[in-house]
Amino acid sequence: MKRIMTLILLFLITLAPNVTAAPDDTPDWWNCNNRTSGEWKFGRAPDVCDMDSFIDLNYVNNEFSDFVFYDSEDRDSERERYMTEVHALINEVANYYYKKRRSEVSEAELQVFLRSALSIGHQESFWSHYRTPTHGKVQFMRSGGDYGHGHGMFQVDDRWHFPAIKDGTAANIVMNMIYSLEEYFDAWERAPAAGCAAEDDYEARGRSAYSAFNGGPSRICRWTNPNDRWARNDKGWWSKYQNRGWENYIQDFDKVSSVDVDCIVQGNEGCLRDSDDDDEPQVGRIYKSEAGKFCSFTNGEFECVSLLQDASCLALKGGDDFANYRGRFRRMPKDFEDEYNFSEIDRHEVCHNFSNDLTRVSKSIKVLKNINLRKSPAGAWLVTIPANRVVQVLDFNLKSSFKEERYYKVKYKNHIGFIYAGNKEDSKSWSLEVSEKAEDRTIAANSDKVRVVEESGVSVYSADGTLLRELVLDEVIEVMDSSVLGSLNEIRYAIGNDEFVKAGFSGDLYNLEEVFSVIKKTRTPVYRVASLRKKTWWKKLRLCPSKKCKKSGSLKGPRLSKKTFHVTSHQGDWLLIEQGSKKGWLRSKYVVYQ
Amino acid sequence: MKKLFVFTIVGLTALFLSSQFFESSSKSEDLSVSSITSDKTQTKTLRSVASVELGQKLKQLDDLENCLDSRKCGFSNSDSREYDLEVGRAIKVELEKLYEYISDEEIEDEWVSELGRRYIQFEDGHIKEAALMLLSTQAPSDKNLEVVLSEVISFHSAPLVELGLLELTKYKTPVWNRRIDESFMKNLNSGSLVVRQLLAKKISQFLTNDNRAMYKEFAATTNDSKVKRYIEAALSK
Repeated sequence: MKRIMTLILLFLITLAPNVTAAPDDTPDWWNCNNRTSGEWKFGRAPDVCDMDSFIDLNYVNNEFSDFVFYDSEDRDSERERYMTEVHALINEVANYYYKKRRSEVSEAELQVFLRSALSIGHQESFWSHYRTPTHGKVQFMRSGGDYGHGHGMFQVDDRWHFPAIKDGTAANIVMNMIYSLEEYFDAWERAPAAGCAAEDDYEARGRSAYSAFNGGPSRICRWTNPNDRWARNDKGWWSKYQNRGWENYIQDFDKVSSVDVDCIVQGNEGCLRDSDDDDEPQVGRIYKSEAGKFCSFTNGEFECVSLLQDASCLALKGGDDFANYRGRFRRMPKDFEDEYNFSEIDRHEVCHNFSNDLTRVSKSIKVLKNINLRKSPAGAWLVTIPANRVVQVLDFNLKSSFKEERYYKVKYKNHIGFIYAGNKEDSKSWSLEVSEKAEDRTIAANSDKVRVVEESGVSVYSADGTLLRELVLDEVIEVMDSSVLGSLNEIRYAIGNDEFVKAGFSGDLYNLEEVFSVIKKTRTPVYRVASLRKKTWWKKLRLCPSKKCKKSGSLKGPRLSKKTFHVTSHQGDWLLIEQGSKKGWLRSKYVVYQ
Repeated sequence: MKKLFVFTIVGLTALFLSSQFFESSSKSEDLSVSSITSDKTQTKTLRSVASVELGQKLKQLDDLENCLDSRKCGFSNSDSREYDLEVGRAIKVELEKLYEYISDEEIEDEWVSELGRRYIQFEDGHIKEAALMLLSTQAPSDKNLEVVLSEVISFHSAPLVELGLLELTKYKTPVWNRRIDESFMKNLNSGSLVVRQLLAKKISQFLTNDNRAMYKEFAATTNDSKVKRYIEAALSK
């Protein structure tokens, strides 16, 4: 009898529903290598881990060196230095953020918001983000209290915000705070409607926003219940807000941060600035205008580029005038903009004319060693490109006019990112320009055929801008030549005698594969043409053949698009779909073959 | 011994029946499109048979919502965020099951939109996404447009907004375009910093002859350099 009971019990237990959390749970201490301990004091909260996969360490050491806590230094003086710098940064980030969201803001409201942000950093991480322990490698704070799920200064949680962790947002100290303040501000705005703060009681709004930030959006009024299980977090934050314990370490409350927050938010790298203002424009300096352009003063007027990454090219053009330039820019006083003439310089012209061996957009290069591909020059690691692979240059980024360190944007298989390609001395040991066509090219080479994939078609123009005709979806044309211009790298194809088409952009607005598809003479996989079921509006694709896999783009159904897609493989009842640059898995039941 | 035997059988039976409930959604997914005919009687019968299952799923959602309010369900609470996270995930899982069921059955009915509109107002971005997927199965409507604009486009999650923009491609009519433009302008001016960059990046699919001048004027005056460049690039097409 007992044996029968045991067998029944075991049998039925196997039928029990799986009620565990979703399998994309980030495990405790995920991707936390070489974990190093600390102490719950400012700048050294435990623990820190390696961050190479999230952000380039050279970038951190160059851009954010003021915000790294160095364990090798005298502890007390290092803490004061670090706190002074981080205080300036948090203030600047919070001030920038609040004014971007609110065009009109009272001083009282702003001051509460700033103090709230300082308190968040104190409560969440004791203002800890980057630290170089005695082993000498800069690392990144991962909270011991949350089993490593909290990342950095404002503790971006990898269970809630995995994409922001993976793409390096949380590892960047400025973007960590910006990203977190987006959530905090959302709760700040909701607090009055939630009933736990009056509209003009900013401190109550701050407390509510912290409760939501710390405990989840539904916990916005948690702070009003002193008996809540997690009331200690709210009490802790409020105590820190009231006592402002950080002030004991600040040496200069008016210090201006060395990084330009707006520059980083606009997606730039190399955002160090000089805090001084000039009364008159100086030769040999780079100025950032109100509109976010970067300019040098030459022959009595300003020459400007749109992208910070091209300021190095302006410096190269300036020659000896820029002998002392080391990459920092200055804010351009408003009266300069009123008093002087400005001209825009084409980045391709200035960068190629004045640099050594910089490869042009659309050319092929062979990488000569295994090279890491990163989301941005200093961003999250994507994949390693093997030596001898030929790739096409989609964009370039010249850092350091002094060394001419170059980065190329390339496509390798399904990844688009940046590779380091050496400096002016050793670039030929990293890559070489070749005539061979890159297998993954997305800018057509001369004599390539391309197919129109833009659903609304593509217009054909003459050189003077006259509209000649329209190409329709799926039409195939031959490219005679290509050109690139502008800060977004607009690509144009010559397709006939005085006939041109715009093929999209290969810069940070990359959309080439949404306009034309380059027809390559490689082995074409067997595929079937299909579309979504008639009644399906749109569907998400998955990275792998399971509902538990992450998203990988989406497809529009026949009611929204006439475009078809290719079914190139199958696994169980899942199909591998390709449409232009989109590739992913979809359940077969949603697909209708043509 | 007899009491133990009876207790075990009752307990195990309850366990078995609950496993059948969780598996029922996967069984419903086995219904292929080809099994749904144009015969209205058959479709009606199918829906009424399914309504018991649907009722159970909706009850499950209600129970999970109550868990959020009461905080007394058996979800983990080992750190300050975990309980909400776990409940949110569970709600998302249930909504996703419903989405699969509705997609399979090709159900277009106001109750689906009502359900989607209800859950899209939760402040959890993962629940919003699952609710948005419910709305994605339905024909466009004024009410659905309003919640997508207020709860998705005006939220601070770029991945969610990206899906929201796809949903908005169902709303390209002169009347709805105006509402979309109003929302876009508000968010470009004072919305989330990362979302405004995404809106600018994707704006070209929403440009019309009627709104080009408005976006051109905005691009000329904004001091968000990336937003400016993206919109100007879209206008140059």
